[in-house]
Amino acid sequence: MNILEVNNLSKYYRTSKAIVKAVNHISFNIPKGQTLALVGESGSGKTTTAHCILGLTKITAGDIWLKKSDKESINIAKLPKDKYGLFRKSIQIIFQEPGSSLNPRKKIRYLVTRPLQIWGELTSTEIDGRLSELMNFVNLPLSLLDYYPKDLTPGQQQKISIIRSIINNPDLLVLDEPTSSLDCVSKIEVLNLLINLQKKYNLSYLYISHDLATVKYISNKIAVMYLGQIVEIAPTDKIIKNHLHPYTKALWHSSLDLEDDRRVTKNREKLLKGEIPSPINLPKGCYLYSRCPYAIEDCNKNPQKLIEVEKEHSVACYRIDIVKNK
Amino acid sequence: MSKKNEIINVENLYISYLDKKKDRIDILKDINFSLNEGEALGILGESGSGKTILAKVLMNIIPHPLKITQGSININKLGNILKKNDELLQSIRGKQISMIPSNPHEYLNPLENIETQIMNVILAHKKDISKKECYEKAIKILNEVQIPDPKKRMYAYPNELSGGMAQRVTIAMSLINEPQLIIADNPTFGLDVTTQIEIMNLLKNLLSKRGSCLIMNSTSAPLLIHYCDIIAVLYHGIILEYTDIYSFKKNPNHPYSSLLLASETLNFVDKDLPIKSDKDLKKEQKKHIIKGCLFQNVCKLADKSCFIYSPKLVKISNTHFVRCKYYYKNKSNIINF
Repeated sequence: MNILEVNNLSKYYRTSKAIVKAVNHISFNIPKGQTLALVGESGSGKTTTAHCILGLTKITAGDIWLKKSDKESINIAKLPKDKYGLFRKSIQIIFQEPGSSLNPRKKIRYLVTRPLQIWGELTSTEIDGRLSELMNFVNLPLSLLDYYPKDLTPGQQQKISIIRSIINNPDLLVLDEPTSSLDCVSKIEVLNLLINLQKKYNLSYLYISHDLATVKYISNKIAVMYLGQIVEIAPTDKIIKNHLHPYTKALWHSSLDLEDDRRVTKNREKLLKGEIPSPINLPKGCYLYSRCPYAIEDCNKNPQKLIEVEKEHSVACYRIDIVKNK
Repeated sequence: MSKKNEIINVENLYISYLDKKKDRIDILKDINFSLNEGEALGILGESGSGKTILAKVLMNIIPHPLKITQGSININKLGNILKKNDELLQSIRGKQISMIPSNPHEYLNPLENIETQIMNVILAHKKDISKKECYEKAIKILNEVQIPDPKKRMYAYPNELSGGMAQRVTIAMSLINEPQLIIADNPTFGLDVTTQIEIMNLLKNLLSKRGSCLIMNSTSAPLLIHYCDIIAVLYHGIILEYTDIYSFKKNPNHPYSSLLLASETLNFVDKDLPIKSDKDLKKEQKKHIIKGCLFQNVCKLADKSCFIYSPKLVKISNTHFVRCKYYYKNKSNIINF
């Protein structure tokens, strides 16, 4: 069962001069208990997508269906603002920098139990029980609850924000680069913690990152984004073995690996040239046209669409037959 | 066989400051390394480990409360640069040693165009050059760093350039006087992965053409493994491991190094990690008070003597040095990933 279904989601920002197409007709769904990773460079619309799902920005077009059960489903995109409470409990977010997302003037106990108090479904003894259960699970001592956020290390702060987001038993967690500002010890711990939590509470994740190593580690399915579009979407093991879109190839070859050294210099022809075009005046045809090593003139004429190449594996590229064989 | 030129030699360097109680606090401790012509040294460490301070000290830029307590930095043909006066240093910086900053937009002057800024670097070290010659030199270097249409881009201001372009301009500025040593302070910070590779390939090509040395800071182990010859692992101001990249990749001997590599590759079993779980950790101590090994309260292998004696940098092979006593005792205890 899909917990979240996104259909043709678009988000345009209007400036005084032009329209910025931050997210452009994307569709995906997240099955219950699984992880979808959104991968892409900065400015490709990953975070905007997350904000749309959370209801933090107004959506230009499209539908976002949140399915709590077989009968009950909500379209977040069409919901009036005063009814946002219907899905707030089911979708939670973990931010990139734990230090700046925790209120520095409140104690950890207040920060963590605040969501429970707002919903007011548990008594104070039940709250304490739930709290000690979760603190045990993430391997933090209970004495930390009386500290202020500044007294904790970034790794501990991130664990606290994880507790805060799962304390109300949500269905979906949006993880917006949760490990990028952590040191290596806590990075490993937080990743393992997220995986264990998923197993225990059957959570679904939308994992946003540009770090391919962590994406491979945590996700079941990967969607590669470029300039507000999804250019390739497939299960993780398929995309690792057989990435087809030129942009995915470039991304894979520029992420450095410890295993085979100095590979980059060998595969230079697979890298892209130039810079990412501005999202204000996007090209008419394929957005990758100016940078792609396989491009021909036809690529610049019509916008491209996601085409299914094999089961569960879709790619948006006209010259997929040529790219496939190279 | 001709002996290779030694470009830089750092000996026994200590950088410290005095706190309110007049206690000496060391920011960098016992730093030793040397580099030959054409070699590249990568300094690997997390934020707060002292990478940037080390990069600045190598150019004898020492921010206010810090002082050099001990040690020397000898540079080829120049001698100990820590003993030079400001006037001499002014003629060395940008000419013999130059720096590539981590955030190019912060480093470039927002009120002057690229032309003026590049030409200023040339004119600062060469007074008798004509303006036309200077202009041509600037165009040539911009072509070399692969900036499209350099004649037009010369008149652009830094805010009109993207991160990758601005970093190319700072690379051009640092290379224009053909220095023998280049210090890159996290040059790929804030760049996208695809741009990061382009910039690093470019820098590496330009340096191998000129035969200059590179000292590069980074938080990413794979990046340094790809582009450097020697790696020094820095942890709270101390070099924990100093080795060539091949033995670093195959058998990192310090638990911290193997942890750094594991966090990049992420192919490990939960129990294999040489770290304690968060519950066993006491509240973080300030590192300068700690007796013994600095890595003690994270390391699973630590025993009583780790809390008393601070380990010394031990030579394992000609190119491999490690600061961990477990190298002797029980090598199989340290997990290789």
